[in-house]
Amino acid sequence: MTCLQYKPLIDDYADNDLAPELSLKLEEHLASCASCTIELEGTVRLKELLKNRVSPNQRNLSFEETTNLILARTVEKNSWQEQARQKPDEQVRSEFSRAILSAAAALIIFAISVVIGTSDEKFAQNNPPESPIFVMSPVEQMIEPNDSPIFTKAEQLNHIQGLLLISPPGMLGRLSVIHEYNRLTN
Amino acid sequence: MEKTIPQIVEQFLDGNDSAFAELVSRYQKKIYSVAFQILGNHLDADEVVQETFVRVYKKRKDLHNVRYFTSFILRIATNYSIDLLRKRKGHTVMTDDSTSLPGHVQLDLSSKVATPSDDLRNKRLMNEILKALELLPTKQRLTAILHDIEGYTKAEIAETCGCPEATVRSNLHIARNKLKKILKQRLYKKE
Ligand SMILES: [Zn+2]
Repeated sequence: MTCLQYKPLIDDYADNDLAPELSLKLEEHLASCASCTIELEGTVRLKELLKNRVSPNQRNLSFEETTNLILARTVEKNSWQEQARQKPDEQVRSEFSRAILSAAAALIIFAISVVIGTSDEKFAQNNPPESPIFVMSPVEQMIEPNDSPIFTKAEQLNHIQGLLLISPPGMLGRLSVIHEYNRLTN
Repeated sequence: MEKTIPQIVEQFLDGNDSAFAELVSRYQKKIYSVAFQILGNHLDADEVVQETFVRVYKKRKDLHNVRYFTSFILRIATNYSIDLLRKRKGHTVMTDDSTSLPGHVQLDLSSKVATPSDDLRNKRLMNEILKALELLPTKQRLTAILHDIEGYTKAEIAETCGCPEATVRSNLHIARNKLKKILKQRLYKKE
């Protein structure tokens, strides 16, 4: 082997990256070659200089400050974003459920009213107008008496006399009461 | 027993946020260091660290093999650093001497105890190296930084760059030769 072939091995030899058998061969060559020896010494010296270019101790930010800044931009930001992302979802979800609930409530009220309505109709069907619920109130009966009055004539007269006493003169209703009084007394 | 990186990465990919926090804790200094070597100032290095982890978090679906997490995060960090470097280059001086220069760099070459003059010489030497590094094309510079300064293996760098190991070897060889040449010229001129 010539110097030209040994030179490329010098770097790896200086780095301890050269296979043992090649290292032995190079060492044999170095023992008798000044040029290659100078090359190796230069590399070793340069490596030592560079290796001693130690990392700086003084930093603007401490280890903890830097860690916190990184975590704030990654892990914490991520969970914060997830929360922010979830919030609208939850809002949409709650709005949606609220809409569903009110729709359901409206439906229930409608159903109840339908049931009540039909039951009213059924009730009306089962209870013909003759039954007391559809009977006019006593005063209505007094004004428009039907064929089967609930009150006797004397009771009605008492009622009207009472009305005449409490209704002040000039009132429109007084006239109809007087008219009714006259009708009952005649 | 302490969890291995692939175990933590596995949990992270499963959506475990505390596993992500663990990765931030384990990789933060490494990423900061790489970014600082590329950009040369604390402000940009801080930005790279934060942006890198945010991107790792967002792009975790792209990581198909948990064993390549180191290369995965390194690729994101170096790409972002280089983007930032290109952005900055027109505007500011890249190396901030007050912070990046070696008040805290200790050169321990042959002698065990450094004398004041040795210390001064080492500082000057380091200064020259930084300047020489800046003159290299991006790929060579990045390879030298990752391998010789940060101590990543050639396989890790190949995975990071998405290139064969032979390319890493050749970039490293060219970078070292150029650095040696620049250093030799400068040091001889000054001594
Ligand atoms: Zn030789």
